[in-house]
Amino acid sequence: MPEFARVDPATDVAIIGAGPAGMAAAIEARRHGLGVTVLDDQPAIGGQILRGISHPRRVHYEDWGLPLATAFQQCGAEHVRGASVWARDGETLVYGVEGQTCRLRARAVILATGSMERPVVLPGHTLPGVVTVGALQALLKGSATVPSGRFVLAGNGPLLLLTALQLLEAGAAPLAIVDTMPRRRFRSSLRHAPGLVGDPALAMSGIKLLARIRAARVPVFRHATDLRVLGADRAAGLAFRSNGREHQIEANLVALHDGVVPNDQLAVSFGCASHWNAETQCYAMTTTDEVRASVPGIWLAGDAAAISGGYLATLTGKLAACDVAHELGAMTAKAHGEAVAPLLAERHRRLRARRFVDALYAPTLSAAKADGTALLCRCEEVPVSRIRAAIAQGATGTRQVKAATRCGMGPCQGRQCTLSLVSVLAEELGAAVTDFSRPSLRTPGRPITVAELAASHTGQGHTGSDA
Amino acid sequence: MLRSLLDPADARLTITVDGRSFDAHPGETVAACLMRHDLVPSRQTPTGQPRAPYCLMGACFECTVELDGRTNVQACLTPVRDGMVICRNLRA
Ligand SMILES: Cc1cc2nc3c(=O)[nH]c(=O)nc-3n(C[C@H](O)[C@@H](O)[C@H](O)COP(=O)(O)OP(=O)(O)OC[C@H]3O[C@@H](n4cnc5c(N)ncnc54)[C@H](O)[C@@H]3O)c2cc1C
Ligand code: FES
Repeated sequence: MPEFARVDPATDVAIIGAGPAGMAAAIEARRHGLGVTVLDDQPAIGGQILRGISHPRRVHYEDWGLPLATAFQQCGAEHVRGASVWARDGETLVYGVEGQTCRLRARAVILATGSMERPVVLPGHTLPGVVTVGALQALLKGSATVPSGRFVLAGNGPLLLLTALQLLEAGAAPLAIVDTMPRRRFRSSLRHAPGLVGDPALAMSGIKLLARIRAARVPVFRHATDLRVLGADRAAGLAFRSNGREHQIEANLVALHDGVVPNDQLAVSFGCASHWNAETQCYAMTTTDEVRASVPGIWLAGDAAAISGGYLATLTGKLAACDVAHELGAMTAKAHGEAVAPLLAERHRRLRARRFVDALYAPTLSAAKADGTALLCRCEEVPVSRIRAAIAQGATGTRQVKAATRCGMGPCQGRQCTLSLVSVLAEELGAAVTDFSRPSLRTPGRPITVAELAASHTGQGHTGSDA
Repeated sequence: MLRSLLDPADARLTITVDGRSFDAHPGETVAACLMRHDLVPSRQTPTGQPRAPYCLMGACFECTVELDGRTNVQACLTPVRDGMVICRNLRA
Protein backbone atom coordinates (compact mmCIF):
# COMPACT_ATOMS: atom_id res chain seq x y z
CA MET A 1 0.00 0.00 0.00
CA PRO A 2 1.40 3.42 -0.85
CA GLU A 3 1.98 5.71 2.07
CA PHE A 4 -0.59 8.50 1.88
CA ALA A 5 0.53 12.00 1.18
CA ARG A 6 1.00 14.27 4.13
CA VAL A 7 -0.93 17.46 3.48
CA ASP A 8 0.67 20.59 4.92
CA PRO A 9 -1.41 23.59 5.98
CA ALA A 10 -1.76 26.01 3.05
CA THR A 11 0.56 28.99 2.94
CA ASP A 12 0.80 32.29 1.06
CA VAL A 13 4.22 31.78 -0.47
CA ALA A 14 6.18 28.59 -1.05
CA ILE A 15 9.87 29.16 -1.70
CA ILE A 16 11.95 26.35 -3.16
CA GLY A 17 15.60 26.63 -2.16
CA ALA A 18 17.17 27.96 1.05
CA GLY A 19 20.22 29.60 -0.54
CA PRO A 20 20.79 33.37 -0.56
CA ALA A 21 17.89 33.97 -2.98
CA GLY A 22 15.39 31.85 -1.09
CA MET A 23 16.38 33.19 2.33
CA ALA A 24 16.27 36.84 1.19
CA ALA A 25 12.86 36.24 -0.42
CA ALA A 26 11.54 34.64 2.77
CA ILE A 27 12.71 37.53 4.96
CA GLU A 28 11.15 40.10 2.62
CA ALA A 29 7.85 38.22 2.28
CA ARG A 30 7.60 37.91 6.07
CA ARG A 31 8.17 41.68 6.38
CA HIS A 32 4.93 42.12 4.48
CA GLY A 33 3.13 39.75 6.78
CA LEU A 34 2.86 36.83 4.37
CA GLY A 35 2.97 33.20 5.50
CA VAL A 36 6.08 31.53 4.09
CA THR A 37 7.22 27.92 3.77
CA VAL A 38 10.71 27.22 2.44
CA LEU A 39 11.34 23.76 0.99
CA ASP A 40 14.97 22.75 0.46
CA ASP A 41 16.50 19.36 -0.32
CA GLN A 42 19.75 19.89 1.61
CA PRO A 43 20.29 18.88 5.25
CA ALA A 44 20.75 22.54 6.31
CA ILE A 45 20.17 26.12 5.12
CA GLY A 46 22.63 28.08 3.00
CA GLY A 47 22.39 26.74 -0.55
CA GLN A 48 25.76 26.48 -2.27
CA ILE A 49 27.66 29.60 -1.28
CA LEU A 50 26.51 29.55 2.36
CA ARG A 51 26.52 25.77 2.81
CA GLY A 52 27.22 24.91 6.45
CA ILE A 53 26.71 28.47 7.70
CA SER A 54 24.52 27.36 10.60
CA HIS A 55 27.50 25.40 12.03
CA PRO A 56 30.51 27.10 10.42
CA ARG A 57 33.74 25.09 10.52
CA ARG A 58 37.03 26.50 9.31
CA VAL A 59 35.51 28.26 6.32
CA HIS A 60 35.28 31.97 5.76
CA TYR A 61 31.93 33.17 4.41
CA GLU A 62 31.00 36.40 2.63
CA ASP A 63 30.34 39.29 5.05
CA TRP A 64 26.63 39.36 4.24
CA GLY A 65 26.25 35.61 4.81
CA LEU A 66 25.85 35.29 8.55
CA PRO A 67 23.51 38.32 8.97
CA LEU A 68 21.32 36.90 6.19
CA ALA A 69 21.20 33.40 7.71
CA THR A 70 20.45 34.79 11.16
CA ALA A 71 17.67 37.06 9.87
CA PHE A 72 16.22 34.09 8.00
CA GLN A 73 16.17 31.90 11.08
CA GLN A 74 14.39 34.65 13.01
CA CYS A 75 11.91 35.76 10.33
CA GLY A 76 9.18 33.27 11.17
CA ALA A 77 9.26 31.35 7.89
CA GLU A 78 8.68 27.61 8.06
CA HIS A 79 11.78 25.74 6.79
CA VAL A 80 11.46 22.10 5.73
CA ARG A 81 14.89 20.49 5.31
CA GLY A 82 15.53 17.45 3.15
CA ALA A 83 12.45 18.35 1.10
CA SER A 84 12.88 17.52 -2.58
CA VAL A 85 10.20 19.19 -4.69
CA TRP A 86 9.28 17.27 -7.80
CA ALA A 87 5.90 18.36 -9.10
CA ARG A 88 3.28 21.11 -9.17
CA ASP A 89 -0.35 20.16 -9.35
CA GLY A 90 -2.43 23.32 -9.78
CA GLU A 91 -1.60 25.45 -6.72
CA THR A 92 -0.13 22.46 -4.90
CA LEU A 93 3.52 21.52 -4.72
CA VAL A 94 4.40 17.86 -4.33
CA TYR A 95 7.62 17.01 -2.52
CA GLY A 96 9.31 14.11 -0.77
CA VAL A 97 10.93 13.95 2.66
CA GLU A 98 12.65 10.68 3.57
CA GLY A 99 10.46 8.74 1.19
CA GLN A 100 7.22 10.32 2.40
CA THR A 101 5.21 12.28 -0.14
CA CYS A 102 3.91 15.65 1.01
CA ARG A 103 1.65 18.26 -0.54
CA LEU A 104 1.73 21.99 0.09
CA ARG A 105 -0.79 24.50 -1.28
CA ALA A 106 0.56 27.99 -1.87
CA ARG A 107 -0.83 31.12 -3.52
CA ALA A 108 2.57 31.95 -5.02
CA VAL A 109 5.73 29.96 -5.71
CA ILE A 110 9.24 31.42 -5.76
CA LEU A 111 11.72 29.06 -7.40
CA ALA A 112 15.19 29.68 -5.97
CA THR A 113 16.81 26.38 -6.92
CA GLY A 114 20.22 27.95 -7.58
CA SER A 115 22.94 26.55 -9.74
CA MET A 116 24.87 23.38 -10.44
CA GLU A 117 28.22 22.76 -12.04
CA ARG A 118 28.34 22.64 -15.82
CA PRO A 119 28.68 19.02 -16.95
CA VAL A 120 32.20 17.99 -17.91
CA VAL A 121 32.83 15.21 -20.44
CA LEU A 122 36.22 13.55 -20.82
CA PRO A 123 37.52 9.97 -20.84
CA GLY A 124 37.38 8.35 -17.41
CA HIS A 125 35.25 11.03 -15.74
CA THR A 126 32.75 8.51 -14.37
CA LEU A 127 35.32 6.50 -12.37
CA PRO A 128 35.10 6.40 -8.57
CA GLY A 129 37.64 8.91 -7.30
CA VAL A 130 36.54 11.55 -9.80
CA VAL A 131 34.39 14.27 -8.28
CA THR A 132 33.52 17.84 -9.14
CA VAL A 133 35.42 20.70 -7.55
CA GLY A 134 32.14 21.89 -6.05
CA ALA A 135 31.84 18.45 -4.47
CA LEU A 136 35.11 18.99 -2.61
CA GLN A 137 33.83 22.34 -1.41
CA ALA A 138 30.52 20.81 -0.32
CA LEU A 139 32.38 18.05 1.57
CA LEU A 140 34.46 20.68 3.35
CA LYS A 141 31.64 23.11 4.20
CA GLY A 142 28.89 20.57 4.81
CA SER A 143 30.66 17.54 6.26
CA ALA A 144 34.04 18.93 7.43
CA THR A 145 35.90 16.39 5.28
CA VAL A 146 38.86 17.06 3.00
CA PRO A 147 40.93 14.95 0.59
CA SER A 148 43.35 12.71 2.47
CA GLY A 149 45.67 11.60 -0.30
CA ARG A 150 47.10 12.84 -3.56
CA PHE A 151 44.56 15.03 -5.37
CA VAL A 152 44.44 17.44 -8.30
CA LEU A 153 41.98 20.14 -9.35
CA ALA A 154 41.41 20.50 -13.08
CA GLY A 155 39.36 22.87 -15.20
CA ASN A 156 38.36 26.48 -15.23
CA GLY A 157 36.31 28.95 -13.20
CA PRO A 158 36.31 31.09 -10.07
CA LEU A 159 34.89 28.25 -7.97
CA LEU A 160 37.97 26.15 -8.73
CA LEU A 161 40.32 28.85 -7.42
CA LEU A 162 38.15 29.58 -4.41
CA THR A 163 37.92 25.90 -3.49
CA ALA A 164 41.68 25.47 -3.91
CA LEU A 165 42.19 28.29 -1.44
CA GLN A 166 39.60 27.00 1.04
CA LEU A 167 41.20 23.54 0.96
CA LEU A 168 44.66 25.01 1.47
CA GLU A 169 43.38 26.95 4.46
CA ALA A 170 41.87 23.74 5.84
CA GLY A 171 45.24 22.00 5.55
CA ALA A 172 44.66 20.00 2.35
CA ALA A 173 47.02 21.09 -0.43
CA PRO A 174 46.34 19.97 -4.01
CA LEU A 175 49.30 18.47 -5.89
CA ALA A 176 48.55 20.79 -8.77
CA ILE A 177 45.96 22.91 -10.52
CA VAL A 178 45.49 21.88 -14.13
CA ASP A 179 44.14 25.08 -15.66
CA THR A 180 42.19 24.63 -18.90
CA MET A 181 41.70 28.29 -19.72
CA PRO A 182 42.75 28.56 -23.37
CA ARG A 183 45.61 30.81 -24.48
CA ARG A 184 44.44 34.32 -25.42
CA ARG A 185 41.15 33.92 -23.53
CA PHE A 186 42.14 36.65 -21.09
CA ARG A 187 42.99 39.09 -23.84
CA SER A 188 39.81 38.41 -25.79
CA SER A 189 37.72 38.93 -22.63
CA LEU A 190 39.20 42.36 -21.99
CA ARG A 191 36.66 44.09 -24.23
CA HIS A 192 34.14 43.43 -21.42
CA ALA A 193 36.49 44.72 -18.71
CA PRO A 194 34.98 48.25 -18.58
CA GLY A 195 31.83 46.67 -17.15
CA LEU A 196 33.79 45.72 -14.04
CA VAL A 197 33.31 49.28 -12.74
CA GLY A 198 29.72 48.17 -12.10
CA ASP A 199 30.96 45.84 -9.36
CA PRO A 200 34.46 46.80 -8.17
CA ALA A 201 34.17 44.42 -5.20
CA LEU A 202 33.78 41.47 -7.59
CA ALA A 203 36.88 42.49 -9.52
CA MET A 204 38.88 42.99 -6.33
CA SER A 205 37.92 39.62 -4.89
CA GLY A 206 39.09 37.96 -8.11
CA ILE A 207 42.44 39.71 -8.03
CA LYS A 208 42.94 38.85 -4.34
CA LEU A 209 42.06 35.23 -4.97
CA LEU A 210 44.63 34.86 -7.75
CA ALA A 211 47.30 36.51 -5.61
CA ARG A 212 46.64 34.19 -2.69
CA ILE A 213 46.79 31.07 -4.87
CA ARG A 214 50.09 32.28 -6.29
CA ALA A 215 51.44 32.92 -2.80
CA ALA A 216 50.56 29.36 -1.77
CA ARG A 217 52.88 28.07 -4.53
CA VAL A 218 50.59 25.32 -5.79
CA PRO A 219 52.01 24.17 -9.14
CA VAL A 220 49.76 25.36 -11.98
CA PHE A 221 49.79 23.79 -15.46
CA ARG A 222 48.37 26.36 -17.86
CA HIS A 223 46.34 26.06 -21.07
CA ALA A 224 45.88 22.34 -20.47
CA THR A 225 44.10 20.26 -23.13
CA ASP A 226 43.38 16.57 -23.86
CA LEU A 227 42.52 15.73 -20.27
CA ARG A 228 41.82 12.11 -19.42
CA VAL A 229 41.44 10.33 -16.11
CA LEU A 230 43.74 7.33 -15.70
CA GLY A 231 42.71 4.11 -13.98
CA ALA A 232 40.60 1.01 -14.66
CA ASP A 233 38.23 0.57 -11.69
CA ARG A 234 38.96 3.86 -9.96
CA ALA A 235 40.90 7.04 -10.61
CA ALA A 236 44.67 6.59 -10.58
CA GLY A 237 45.65 9.99 -11.98
CA LEU A 238 45.18 12.62 -14.65
CA ALA A 239 46.89 12.87 -18.05
CA PHE A 240 46.88 16.07 -20.11
CA ARG A 241 48.90 18.29 -22.47
CA SER A 242 50.23 21.64 -21.36
CA ASN A 243 52.66 23.95 -23.19
CA GLY A 244 53.38 21.36 -25.85
CA ARG A 245 54.20 18.53 -23.45
CA GLU A 246 52.41 15.42 -22.19
CA HIS A 247 51.97 15.23 -18.43
CA GLN A 248 50.69 12.59 -16.04
CA ILE A 249 49.95 13.20 -12.39
CA GLU A 250 49.30 10.27 -10.11
CA ALA A 251 46.36 10.92 -7.79
CA ASN A 252 43.57 8.99 -6.10
CA LEU A 253 41.17 11.92 -6.28
CA VAL A 254 40.63 14.05 -9.37
CA ALA A 255 38.28 17.04 -9.14
CA LEU A 256 36.88 18.59 -12.34
CA HIS A 257 35.15 21.91 -12.92
CA ASP A 258 33.97 24.02 -15.86
CA GLY A 259 31.85 26.77 -14.35
CA VAL A 260 28.28 26.82 -13.08
CA VAL A 261 24.91 26.91 -14.86
CA PRO A 262 21.34 27.39 -13.66
CA ASN A 263 19.76 24.43 -11.85
CA ASP A 264 16.54 25.00 -13.75
CA GLN A 265 15.19 21.48 -14.12
CA LEU A 266 12.24 22.09 -11.80
CA ALA A 267 11.32 25.40 -13.47
CA VAL A 268 11.35 23.70 -16.86
CA SER A 269 9.24 20.81 -15.59
CA PHE A 270 6.74 23.38 -14.25
CA GLY A 271 6.41 24.65 -17.82
CA CYS A 272 8.39 27.89 -17.40
CA ALA A 273 9.91 29.19 -20.64
CA SER A 274 13.67 29.50 -21.12
CA HIS A 275 15.91 30.59 -23.97
CA TRP A 276 19.40 29.75 -25.22
CA ASN A 277 22.06 32.29 -24.28
CA ALA A 278 24.95 32.03 -26.74
CA GLU A 279 27.20 34.20 -24.57
CA THR A 280 27.03 31.98 -21.48
CA GLN A 281 26.46 28.83 -23.52
CA CYS A 282 23.58 27.67 -21.39
CA TYR A 283 19.87 28.32 -21.04
CA ALA A 284 18.44 31.23 -19.08
CA MET A 285 14.89 31.30 -17.75
CA THR A 286 12.66 33.86 -19.40
CA THR A 287 11.44 36.37 -16.79
CA THR A 288 10.22 39.94 -16.48
CA ASP A 289 12.40 42.51 -14.67
CA GLU A 290 10.34 41.75 -11.57
CA VAL A 291 11.45 38.12 -12.01
CA ARG A 292 8.04 36.69 -12.88
CA ALA A 293 8.28 33.45 -14.87
CA SER A 294 6.20 32.79 -17.97
CA VAL A 295 3.79 30.66 -15.90
CA PRO A 296 1.34 32.66 -13.73
CA GLY A 297 1.97 32.29 -10.01
CA ILE A 298 5.68 31.45 -10.37
CA TRP A 299 8.64 33.75 -9.74
CA LEU A 300 12.31 32.89 -10.34
CA ALA A 301 15.02 34.25 -8.05
CA GLY A 302 18.79 33.88 -7.87
CA ASP A 303 21.05 31.72 -10.02
CA ALA A 304 18.18 29.41 -10.99
CA ALA A 305 17.17 31.96 -13.62
CA ALA A 306 20.64 33.03 -14.79
CA ILE A 307 24.03 32.88 -13.07
CA SER A 308 24.79 36.15 -11.36
CA GLY A 309 26.28 35.15 -7.99
CA GLY A 310 25.28 34.97 -4.35
CA TYR A 311 24.91 38.69 -3.61
CA LEU A 312 22.75 39.36 -6.66
CA ALA A 313 20.71 36.31 -5.66
CA THR A 314 19.71 38.18 -2.50
CA LEU A 315 18.55 41.13 -4.64
CA THR A 316 16.44 39.04 -6.98
CA GLY A 317 15.07 37.15 -3.96
CA LYS A 318 13.87 40.49 -2.54
CA LEU A 319 12.51 41.56 -5.92
CA ALA A 320 10.50 38.36 -6.19
CA ALA A 321 9.08 38.70 -2.68
CA CYS A 322 8.08 42.35 -3.25
CA ASP A 323 6.31 41.43 -6.46
CA VAL A 324 4.52 38.54 -4.77
CA ALA A 325 3.50 40.82 -1.87
CA HIS A 326 2.10 43.32 -4.36
CA GLU A 327 0.27 40.61 -6.29
CA LEU A 328 -1.25 39.16 -3.12
CA GLY A 329 -2.37 42.59 -1.92
CA ALA A 330 0.11 42.86 0.95
CA MET A 331 1.92 45.84 -0.58
CA THR A 332 0.51 48.95 -2.29
CA ALA A 333 1.55 49.81 -5.83
CA LYS A 334 3.35 52.89 -4.50
CA ALA A 335 5.30 51.01 -1.83
CA HIS A 336 6.13 48.32 -4.38
CA GLY A 337 7.46 50.86 -6.86
CA GLU A 338 9.59 52.54 -4.21
CA ALA A 339 11.03 49.26 -2.97
CA VAL A 340 11.76 47.81 -6.38
CA ALA A 341 13.43 50.80 -8.13
CA PRO A 342 16.71 50.78 -6.15
CA LEU A 343 16.91 46.97 -6.36
CA LEU A 344 16.57 47.07 -10.14
CA ALA A 345 19.17 49.83 -10.44
CA GLU A 346 21.73 47.98 -8.33
CA ARG A 347 21.09 44.78 -10.18
CA HIS A 348 21.54 46.44 -13.56
CA ARG A 349 24.83 48.03 -12.47
CA ARG A 350 26.32 44.84 -11.05
CA LEU A 351 25.19 42.65 -13.95
CA ARG A 352 27.47 44.64 -16.28
CA ALA A 353 30.46 43.18 -14.46
CA ARG A 354 29.29 39.61 -15.09
CA ARG A 355 29.99 39.84 -18.81
CA PHE A 356 33.75 39.89 -18.25
CA VAL A 357 33.52 36.92 -15.87
CA ASP A 358 31.28 35.00 -18.30
CA ALA A 359 33.64 35.61 -21.23
CA LEU A 360 36.75 34.75 -19.22
CA TYR A 361 35.33 31.50 -17.88
CA ALA A 362 33.43 30.26 -20.94
CA PRO A 363 33.35 26.43 -21.05
CA THR A 364 36.53 24.48 -21.78
CA LEU A 365 35.68 20.85 -21.01
CA SER A 366 32.39 20.44 -22.83
CA ALA A 367 31.56 17.37 -24.87
CA ALA A 368 31.91 19.29 -28.16
CA LYS A 369 35.56 18.38 -28.65
CA ALA A 370 35.65 15.34 -26.35
CA ASP A 371 37.10 11.99 -27.35
CA GLY A 372 34.38 9.74 -28.80
CA THR A 373 34.81 7.15 -26.05
CA ALA A 374 33.94 9.59 -23.24
CA LEU A 375 30.50 9.03 -21.72
CA LEU A 376 28.20 11.96 -22.43
CA CYS A 377 25.21 10.51 -20.58
CA ARG A 378 26.33 9.05 -17.25
CA CYS A 379 23.03 7.43 -16.45
CA GLU A 380 22.37 5.58 -19.70
CA GLU A 381 26.09 5.19 -20.47
CA VAL A 382 25.95 6.83 -23.90
CA PRO A 383 29.38 7.73 -25.36
CA VAL A 384 29.99 10.91 -27.37
CA SER A 385 30.57 8.80 -30.50
CA ARG A 386 26.99 7.52 -30.43
CA ILE A 387 25.68 11.08 -30.19
CA ARG A 388 27.82 12.12 -33.15
CA ALA A 389 26.47 9.14 -35.11
CA ALA A 390 22.88 10.18 -34.38
CA ILE A 391 23.66 13.68 -35.61
CA ALA A 392 25.31 12.30 -38.75
CA GLN A 393 22.07 10.40 -39.35
CA GLY A 394 20.09 13.62 -39.34
CA ALA A 395 19.29 14.63 -35.75
CA THR A 396 19.36 18.42 -35.36
CA GLY A 397 17.98 18.82 -31.84
CA THR A 398 18.10 17.31 -28.36
CA ARG A 399 14.73 15.58 -28.68
CA GLN A 400 15.79 13.58 -31.74
CA VAL A 401 19.14 12.60 -30.22
CA LYS A 402 17.37 11.56 -27.03
CA ALA A 403 14.93 9.36 -28.95
CA ALA A 404 17.76 7.77 -30.94
CA THR A 405 20.20 7.15 -28.07
CA ARG A 406 18.29 7.16 -24.72
CA CYS A 407 20.59 10.03 -23.70
CA GLY A 408 18.93 11.94 -20.85
CA MET A 409 16.42 9.23 -19.98
CA GLY A 410 18.10 8.01 -16.77
CA PRO A 411 17.64 9.05 -13.14
CA CYS A 412 19.20 12.52 -13.49
CA GLN A 413 16.65 13.25 -16.22
CA GLY A 414 19.05 15.17 -18.39
CA ARG A 415 20.49 17.46 -15.69
CA GLN A 416 23.96 16.12 -16.46
CA CYS A 417 23.76 15.77 -20.24
CA THR A 418 21.45 18.30 -21.87
CA LEU A 419 24.10 21.01 -22.13
CA SER A 420 26.67 18.46 -23.30
CA LEU A 421 24.27 17.33 -25.97
CA VAL A 422 23.66 20.89 -27.14
CA SER A 423 27.41 21.56 -27.28
CA VAL A 424 27.96 18.54 -29.55
CA LEU A 425 25.03 19.53 -31.78
CA ALA A 426 26.33 23.08 -32.13
CA GLU A 427 29.86 21.84 -32.85
CA GLU A 428 28.77 19.33 -35.48
CA LEU A 429 26.07 21.38 -37.19
CA GLY A 430 26.90 24.99 -36.40
CA ALA A 431 24.72 27.26 -34.29
CA ALA A 432 22.61 28.29 -37.29
CA VAL A 433 21.38 24.73 -37.93
CA THR A 434 21.14 23.50 -34.34
CA ASP A 435 17.68 23.29 -32.84
CA PHE A 436 18.22 24.65 -29.33
CA SER A 437 14.79 23.72 -28.01
CA ARG A 438 15.07 21.70 -24.83
CA PRO A 439 14.09 18.08 -24.43
CA SER A 440 10.52 17.98 -23.17
CA LEU A 441 10.47 17.40 -19.45
CA ARG A 442 7.50 15.91 -17.75
CA THR A 443 7.09 16.02 -14.05
CA PRO A 444 8.20 14.33 -11.84
CA GLY A 445 11.39 16.38 -11.79
CA ARG A 446 13.25 13.53 -10.12
CA PRO A 447 12.97 9.74 -10.17
CA ILE A 448 10.31 8.54 -7.76
CA THR A 449 8.91 5.21 -6.78
CA VAL A 450 5.49 4.01 -7.85
CA ALA A 451 4.36 4.26 -4.22
CA GLU A 452 5.37 7.92 -4.08
CA LEU A 453 3.57 8.63 -7.33
CA ALA A 454 0.44 6.90 -6.13
CA ALA A 455 0.56 8.85 -2.88
CA SER A 456 0.88 12.16 -4.70
CA HIS A 457 -2.62 11.77 -6.15
CA THR A 458 -5.40 12.75 -3.85
CA GLY A 459 -8.16 11.79 -6.18
CA GLN A 460 -8.65 14.88 -8.30
CA GLY A 461 -6.48 16.45 -10.99
CA HIS A 462 -3.24 15.06 -12.23
CA THR A 463 0.38 15.33 -11.23
CA GLY A 464 2.37 18.00 -12.93
CA SER A 465 1.97 20.22 -15.93
CA ASP A 466 1.76 19.31 -19.56
CA ALA A 467 2.95 22.73 -20.66
CA MET B 1 40.33 9.31 -0.14
CA LEU B 2 38.86 11.69 2.46
CA ARG B 3 39.56 12.52 6.08
CA SER B 4 37.50 14.37 8.64
CA LEU B 5 38.68 17.62 10.19
CA LEU B 6 36.75 16.78 13.34
CA ASP B 7 38.08 15.08 16.45
CA PRO B 8 37.94 11.27 15.89
CA ALA B 9 36.55 10.98 19.42
CA ASP B 10 33.42 12.80 18.20
CA ALA B 11 32.66 10.13 15.59
CA ARG B 12 30.24 8.59 18.04
CA LEU B 13 27.59 7.36 15.63
CA THR B 14 27.65 3.95 13.97
CA ILE B 15 26.27 3.02 10.58
CA THR B 16 26.19 -0.39 8.95
CA VAL B 17 27.31 -0.78 5.35
CA ASP B 18 26.91 -4.18 3.69
CA GLY B 19 26.82 -5.79 7.12
CA ARG B 20 29.96 -4.09 8.53
CA SER B 21 29.99 -1.27 11.09
CA PHE B 22 31.63 2.11 10.53
CA ASP B 23 31.96 5.22 12.69
CA ALA B 24 30.21 8.42 11.64
CA HIS B 25 30.32 12.07 12.68
CA PRO B 26 27.06 13.81 13.58
CA GLY B 27 26.31 16.25 10.74
CA GLU B 28 28.21 14.52 7.96
CA THR B 29 26.33 13.17 4.97
CA VAL B 30 26.12 9.47 4.18
CA ALA B 31 28.12 10.11 0.98
CA ALA B 32 30.92 11.84 2.91
CA CYS B 33 30.98 9.00 5.40
CA LEU B 34 31.14 6.33 2.66
CA MET B 35 33.99 8.13 0.91
CA ARG B 36 35.84 8.72 4.19
CA HIS B 37 35.82 4.97 4.79
CA ASP B 38 36.80 4.35 1.17
CA LEU B 39 33.52 2.54 0.53
CA VAL B 40 33.62 3.12 -3.21
CA PRO B 41 32.21 2.17 -5.62
CA SER B 42 28.93 2.95 -3.92
CA ARG B 43 26.88 1.47 -6.75
CA GLN B 44 27.16 -0.18 -10.16
CA THR B 45 25.46 0.74 -13.42
CA PRO B 46 23.21 -1.81 -15.15
CA THR B 47 26.23 -2.85 -17.25
CA GLY B 48 28.35 -3.32 -14.12
CA GLN B 49 30.46 -0.15 -14.23
CA PRO B 50 31.61 1.11 -10.82
CA ARG B 51 30.30 4.52 -9.71
CA ALA B 52 30.69 6.71 -6.64
CA PRO B 53 29.37 10.05 -5.37
CA TYR B 54 30.33 12.73 -7.91
CA CYS B 55 28.64 16.13 -7.39
CA LEU B 56 27.80 15.88 -3.65
CA MET B 57 24.96 18.36 -4.11
CA GLY B 58 22.05 16.34 -5.43
CA ALA B 59 22.39 16.85 -9.19
CA CYS B 60 23.97 13.69 -10.64
CA PHE B 61 22.28 10.72 -8.89
CA GLU B 62 25.57 8.79 -8.85
CA CYS B 63 25.43 8.39 -5.06
CA THR B 64 22.22 6.40 -4.79
CA VAL B 65 22.19 3.55 -2.26
CA GLU B 66 19.67 1.39 -0.46
CA LEU B 67 19.14 3.01 2.92
CA ASP B 68 17.01 1.56 5.72
CA GLY B 69 15.11 -0.45 3.14
CA ARG B 70 14.40 2.47 0.78
CA THR B 71 15.99 2.17 -2.67
CA ASN B 72 17.65 4.92 -4.74
CA VAL B 73 18.29 7.26 -1.82
CA GLN B 74 20.72 10.07 -2.63
CA ALA B 75 23.50 9.60 -0.09
CA CYS B 76 24.83 13.13 -0.59
CA LEU B 77 21.56 14.71 0.58
CA THR B 78 21.13 12.45 3.60
CA PRO B 79 22.78 13.18 6.95
CA VAL B 80 23.99 10.10 8.87
CA ARG B 81 21.88 8.85 11.74
CA ASP B 82 22.93 6.36 14.39
CA GLY B 83 22.07 2.81 13.38
CA MET B 84 21.46 3.50 9.70
CA VAL B 85 21.67 0.41 7.50
CA ILE B 86 23.10 0.89 4.02
CA CYS B 87 23.37 -1.58 1.18
CA ARG B 88 25.50 -0.96 -1.88
CA ASN B 89 24.12 -3.96 -3.76
CA LEU B 90 27.42 -4.58 -5.54
CA ARG B 91 27.65 -7.63 -7.76
CA ALA B 92 30.95 -9.47 -7.76
C1 LIG C 1 28.70 23.34 -5.96
C2 LIG C 1 28.64 24.85 -6.00
C3 LIG C 1 29.37 25.61 -5.09
C4 LIG C 1 29.33 27.00 -5.12
N1 LIG C 1 30.07 27.69 -4.22
C5 LIG C 1 30.14 29.05 -4.32
C6 LIG C 1 30.99 29.82 -3.45
O1 LIG C 1 31.65 29.27 -2.57
N2 LIG C 1 31.03 31.15 -3.62
C7 LIG C 1 30.30 31.78 -4.59
O2 LIG C 1 30.38 33.01 -4.72
N3 LIG C 1 29.47 31.09 -5.40
C8 LIG C 1 29.39 29.74 -5.30
N4 LIG C 1 28.57 29.04 -6.15
C9 LIG C 1 27.71 29.76 -7.09
C10 LIG C 1 26.27 29.82 -6.53
O3 LIG C 1 25.40 29.70 -7.62
C11 LIG C 1 26.06 31.10 -5.73
O4 LIG C 1 26.01 32.19 -6.62
C12 LIG C 1 24.82 31.13 -4.84
O5 LIG C 1 24.85 30.02 -3.98
C13 LIG C 1 23.51 31.20 -5.59
O6 LIG C 1 22.48 31.40 -4.67
P1 LIG C 1 20.98 30.89 -4.92
O7 LIG C 1 20.20 31.26 -3.72
O8 LIG C 1 20.52 31.37 -6.23
O9 LIG C 1 21.07 29.30 -5.03
P2 LIG C 1 21.79 28.17 -4.18
O10 LIG C 1 22.70 28.74 -3.19
O11 LIG C 1 22.32 27.21 -5.17
O12 LIG C 1 20.57 27.49 -3.38
C14 LIG C 1 19.59 26.73 -4.03
C15 LIG C 1 19.04 25.70 -3.07
O13 LIG C 1 17.90 25.07 -3.64
C16 LIG C 1 17.99 23.68 -3.45
N5 LIG C 1 17.18 22.98 -4.47
C17 LIG C 1 17.43 22.87 -5.79
N6 LIG C 1 16.47 22.14 -6.39
C18 LIG C 1 15.58 21.78 -5.42
C19 LIG C 1 14.37 21.02 -5.41
N7 LIG C 1 13.87 20.48 -6.54
N8 LIG C 1 13.73 20.84 -4.23
C20 LIG C 1 14.22 21.38 -3.09
N9 LIG C 1 15.36 22.11 -3.04
C21 LIG C 1 16.03 22.31 -4.19
C22 LIG C 1 19.48 23.43 -3.57
O14 LIG C 1 19.86 22.18 -3.05
C23 LIG C 1 20.04 24.60 -2.77
O15 LIG C 1 20.07 24.32 -1.40
C24 LIG C 1 28.55 27.64 -6.10
C25 LIG C 1 27.81 26.90 -7.02
C26 LIG C 1 27.85 25.51 -6.98
C27 LIG C 1 27.05 24.71 -7.97
S1 FES D 1 26.65 12.79 -5.59
FE1 FES D 1 25.54 13.73 -7.20
S2 FES D 1 23.51 13.44 -6.50
FE2 FES D 1 24.64 12.73 -4.83
